[in-house]
Order: sequence, then structure tokens, then C-alpha cells
Amino acid sequence: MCQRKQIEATRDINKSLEAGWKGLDIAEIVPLDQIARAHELVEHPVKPGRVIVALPA
Amino acid sequence: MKAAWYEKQGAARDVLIIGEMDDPQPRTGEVRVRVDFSGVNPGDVKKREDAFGVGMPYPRVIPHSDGSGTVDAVGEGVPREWIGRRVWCYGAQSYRPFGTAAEFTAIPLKEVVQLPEGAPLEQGACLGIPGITAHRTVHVGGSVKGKTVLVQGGAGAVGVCAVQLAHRAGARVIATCRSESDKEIASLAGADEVLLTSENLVKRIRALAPDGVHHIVEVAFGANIKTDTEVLAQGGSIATYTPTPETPVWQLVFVNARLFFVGSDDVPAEADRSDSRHQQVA
Repeated sequence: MCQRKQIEATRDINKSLEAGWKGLDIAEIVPLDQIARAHELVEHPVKPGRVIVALPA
Repeated sequence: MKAAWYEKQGAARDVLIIGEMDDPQPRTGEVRVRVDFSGVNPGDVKKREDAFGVGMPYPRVIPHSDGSGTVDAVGEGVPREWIGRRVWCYGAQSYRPFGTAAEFTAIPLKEVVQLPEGAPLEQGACLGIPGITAHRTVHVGGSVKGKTVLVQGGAGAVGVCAVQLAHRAGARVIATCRSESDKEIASLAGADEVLLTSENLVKRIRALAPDGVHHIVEVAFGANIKTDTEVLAQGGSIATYTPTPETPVWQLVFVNARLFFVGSDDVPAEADRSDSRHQQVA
């Protein structure tokens, strides 16, 4: 598998972030203990935006 | 370390387990990331429920390919300067068993990207799969600089990234979406024009691009292919990562369309500048 295309993509995404792009809306940050709920939110979204899981600090 | 995993596929609540595992040690060419955020993508959910019908690829899977955190250890061959860097990663659970839904993940350095200063770690966990997919869909048909690009579905994760990346690449971007709140999302991402997918969409796109659009990023090929065929410029291209039930081939032949099906994971080695697994319609 050639990863050159992925690397080009990540460079361009970083350039956007460096230029001040705020990225994607986040619908909910779910603690790891509730990972099943995080998956369910992706399967049946209740509001638009990404779902991410937070690991314990 | 604390981790989430599954050892059989099925409904989230039935198969996801939270427990303790040994901390992974980075092997040659790998770094270990102390994970702050783990991104959940539709593909992760599909793998967990075995939507692709391939069964368990490994006895135990820690899900999620995207994530962000701080490098805390490096394997052989990786400069120690990486330790302490804030990073985002992709592909952690792509052809590998252990993804980012754990306190630590060991991952090849080539799938790790330093996060720009000021960019939040939360964003780092969001951008891997949708960002790479979007980049592929924008660029697979050739340079978009000075071209008109239509992003069908400009408010979803891939769509927003595609709008932003096409905008940054110098395209004039027309985005479509379904609601006023979505319009704002697409505008913020850099769309020059945002249209609601109500009636007369073809006419309104044609008004903005009388000669047709040069490239289309399509997030719902099956639903939109008819519109796409009616607004595509001669020699234009369409890129999608979704299946199509039926393709109106003749109309595409008349405009000498090029059709690209792309994904974020399985990017092929390329012999020349022509790209990806594409289907030259005419």
C-alpha cells in the first residue's frame, strides 16, 4: 500500500488548521466508560457533528 | 492501561468491553501515543457490527482508527524528538488490531502527524478518515485550481473537509445542503456558493456554472447521480466513496465523464499521475 496520498492529505489538512480553519463540529465528547453510547450516537445521530471518545486524563 | 475492545461482533452494548490491558510497547518504526481523544467513524461502527460480512479479523479488536494525543515513547528508528509532541493519527485500526479507544496506542510513525500549534486535540481526533477521504475525492480527478467544484452534501464530515480542501486548493466551490443551519456550516468551511437541495437545483447550479461544473465530490451517489449528470461539464469528473445502485451511463458518455471511487484506507500504489481505481466511462 502506498501512503503518499494519505501523507499529502494530512499535510494539506494541517495547512488548513494552521491557516485558522476550525475543523469539524463536535456533537458530543463521550467518556471511554460510555463507548457503547458513542457508537450508538454514530449509528443514530441525535444532532449533527462528530462523536469522539475522551480517554481518562 | 484502560482500554475498550470487542472479541465478537454485534450491537455496541452487547460486545464492547472496558477493562485493563498491558501497555503496548512501540516496535521498530512505531511511536506510542498517550491518547486524549479517540474519533468514532461510521466505518468503525460498521466493522464492530460486521456490516462488511468479513467476521472478526483478529481475536480482539480495540476499535477506532483516528485519534489524538501526545507521543510518550518511540520504537527503534524513530527520532526521540517525537517524544512530547502533540499528534493526530489515522489508520490505527486499519489492518491492525489495536486502535485508539485505549489510554495508549502504538502506531507506525508514518500514520502520525504533528498537530499544528493552537489546533485543539479534539479536532485531531476528528480529521483522519473524513479528511483523507475528502482530500482524495477533491484531488483524484486532477488539479482543481481555478475550476468549479460542486460538493454534494457540504455540511457532513467529509463534505465540510472537501469544501475546505477544495477552497484551499484554489477552486471555486459550490456546496449543496439540506437546511439553513447546514448552509452556515458549508459557508464557514469556505464554500463560495451554498444551495439548498430543494427544487430546481439543476437550474440553480447551471445559473452559477453555465458551462457546467468541472468536478463533483459526491457524498450520496445513488441519490444525486441524476443531478450530477445534468450539471457536469464536458470532460468533468465525479468522485465518490459511496455505492451507486444504477448509473445513467449514456448521459455520462455524452459529456465524457470520468468517475472515481475512492476510500481513505486502501490507497493504491500508483504507476503514474493517473490515480486510484477509476472507471473511465468514455
